[in-house]
Amino acid sequence: MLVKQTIINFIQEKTHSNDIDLEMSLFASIKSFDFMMLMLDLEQKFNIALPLEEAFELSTHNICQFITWVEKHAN
Amino acid sequence: MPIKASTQQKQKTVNLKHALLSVLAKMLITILRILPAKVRKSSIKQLGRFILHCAKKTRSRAINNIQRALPDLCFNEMKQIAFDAYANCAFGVAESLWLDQLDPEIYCDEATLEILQSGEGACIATMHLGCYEAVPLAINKFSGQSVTLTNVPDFLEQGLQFYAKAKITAINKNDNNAFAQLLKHTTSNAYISLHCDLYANQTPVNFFKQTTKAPSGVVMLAKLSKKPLLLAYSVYQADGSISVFFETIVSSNNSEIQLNQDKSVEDLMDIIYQRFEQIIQQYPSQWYWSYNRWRIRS
Repeated sequence: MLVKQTIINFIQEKTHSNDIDLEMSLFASIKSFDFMMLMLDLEQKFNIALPLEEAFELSTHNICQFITWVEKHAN
Repeated sequence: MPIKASTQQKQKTVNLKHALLSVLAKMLITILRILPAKVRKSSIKQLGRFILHCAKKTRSRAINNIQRALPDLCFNEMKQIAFDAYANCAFGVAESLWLDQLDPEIYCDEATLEILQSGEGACIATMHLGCYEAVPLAINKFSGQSVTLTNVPDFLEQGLQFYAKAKITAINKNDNNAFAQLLKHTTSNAYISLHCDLYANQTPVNFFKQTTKAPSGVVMLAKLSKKPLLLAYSVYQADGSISVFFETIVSSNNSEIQLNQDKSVEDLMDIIYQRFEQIIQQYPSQWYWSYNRWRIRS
């Protein structure tokens, strides 16, 4: 839940919108520079290492899949 | 309907303007390329001085910036640096048009050389000093994977070809996924050099005793990809040759997670900016002073 909230809060802050569609692609929602910030935030906050190659595949899918992937690494 | 017609008219004007600029740019590049190297250099430098002489706002911004950074100089010395720097920068930018003809000398310590020769990639913070694109060019002496971000104007159709000729992968800064493309290149062990001495509303830094903000993409790339973080810059020597200096800011050899645990993005940007200050103080007539570097945004 914490991972999901962190990601959603980040996207809300970057898009200036509270209405986030979790089915949308992550790269369609935020800029790729912000994607780097998000990855770093997540690594620091949850003390995890997120494999970049996998992240790319997921970021082109949807936000929901990205959340599940991060949660898998955080647990 | 009238609105649509007006938009079409505007687009037509823009296209015409771009086409004209493109033809002019092609002519200018062709003329410059056929000139003997010495004549080419002095002509471009003279043109740079002339432009600064005519551009009052740019000139006063450059002098104000020099005053801010080097307050011990007298006005005439500042003015001299402003003109020399503008002439040198004009030449440095123009040399991007014949990158394949340049052959920079490289200087670095053994540890940095090892990183450059390892073929495992690195992220390199660079600056607008000397020949702007000499750093990605120098990387090609070690690796076939030199990548950089660029901001070529739309009208310069052949802009990216200059990079391609010099075997540099140039990614358009204005692409939405520019950083995603850079990140992908880090996973294939590329050497990515990004200019980070100009203003961007990203990370606070202290630059010549004043707080401002700076682009921190290169540091983020290094942290995320766990690649070494280097700093590099190029300078013109008195004989006209180009020297490129590489230094290690963080080597990832000690620990895979060193970059993430030891230093924050802000800490690393501070280290880079302290070095930038020293380098600019050493070569004040080769840095681009005319940029609105210390802007304050509300």
